[in-house]
Amino acid sequence: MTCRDIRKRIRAWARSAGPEGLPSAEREVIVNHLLRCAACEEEMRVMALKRVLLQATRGAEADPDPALYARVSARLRESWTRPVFSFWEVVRATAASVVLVGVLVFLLLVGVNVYINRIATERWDFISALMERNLSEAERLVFAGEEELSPEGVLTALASELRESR
Amino acid sequence: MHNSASELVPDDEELVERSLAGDVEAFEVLVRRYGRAVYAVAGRFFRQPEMREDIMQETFLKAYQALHTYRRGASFERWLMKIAMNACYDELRRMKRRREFSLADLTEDERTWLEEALAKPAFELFERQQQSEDAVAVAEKLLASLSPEDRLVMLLYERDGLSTAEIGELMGWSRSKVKIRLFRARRALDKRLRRMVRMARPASGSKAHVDEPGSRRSE
Repeated sequence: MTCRDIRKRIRAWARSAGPEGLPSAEREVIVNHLLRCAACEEEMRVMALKRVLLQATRGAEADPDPALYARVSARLRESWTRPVFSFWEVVRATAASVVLVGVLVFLLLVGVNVYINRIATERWDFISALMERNLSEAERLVFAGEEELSPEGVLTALASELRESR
Repeated sequence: MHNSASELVPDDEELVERSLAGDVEAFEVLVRRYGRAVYAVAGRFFRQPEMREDIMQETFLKAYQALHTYRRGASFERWLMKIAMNACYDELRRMKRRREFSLADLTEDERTWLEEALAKPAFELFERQQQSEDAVAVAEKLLASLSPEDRLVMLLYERDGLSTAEIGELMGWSRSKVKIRLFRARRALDKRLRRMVRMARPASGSKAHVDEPGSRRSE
């Protein structure tokens, strides 16, 4: 048996049950080889140590504490208020929300546009009327809404106009 | 007229359907049915009961949140075990990794355990497994110097005897990825172990390499 054969065998032991159950003749060949070959003997130690240490990390086959099930349930019930949606339900809900928001934004824009147009038209009509009719200051004040439509206000404006015309 | 066994004990798929419809008690039946298996998966990587409990809690919460992704007709247990394995992997990634393993990291007792173990004939070390807390501590420190991926494949393949195909399926990795990881993990762990053996054990004398036909020295 060559060093290569022996090391191949040793490496396989690290993963399996080890050299237990090895036929005595084969075992003797390997033991004798290890007594004479330092490199294979070291490989044997490395693999044996690997097996010992990895096996040591194996946790005890303990059952979970019965109270743990209750704790898991309690946490589940905390998060249970959130409904579980399927993928297509999420897609449908998202699409519906997008359409709804789109319609609302459209309506809002239309409304704003109509309002702005109405205000602009009213203003423009008012200004045009002033320009065309060459209204007196008193009328302008009344139309512009800067003076209350009171007899005193109109009289004051007319008096001021008379003074200026003289 | 009496109920049949299948009517008394609902199967996994039925319980999943009921859970999706908002029946929390149906999901709790699944928790009780597979709690032990999930706890055992956590035990492959973590010995501390608190850690195992965290993994179990996280696994069932993730399973509940991802219940709509469970494919009808597939094994619920296998689907759940994948979630548990990934929860363990995430936890391994969160754990602080040591930069390198050194004998100076060992306590006096741990070092004594190591020296005594290595003083034995190699065959005896292989055959007489000694479970001790010192061995566990040495192993934990050694494994903490590996990357999470290396640690995971070493434990699953070398210790638990899973095949590369089984590891690939559990982790959602390709088989070639598992093989590459395994190769790297072995190289990293063996390098550390070889150094440990050389440092903890005085030179054994004048044994030479045996020159046999066809023999090949390792590095």
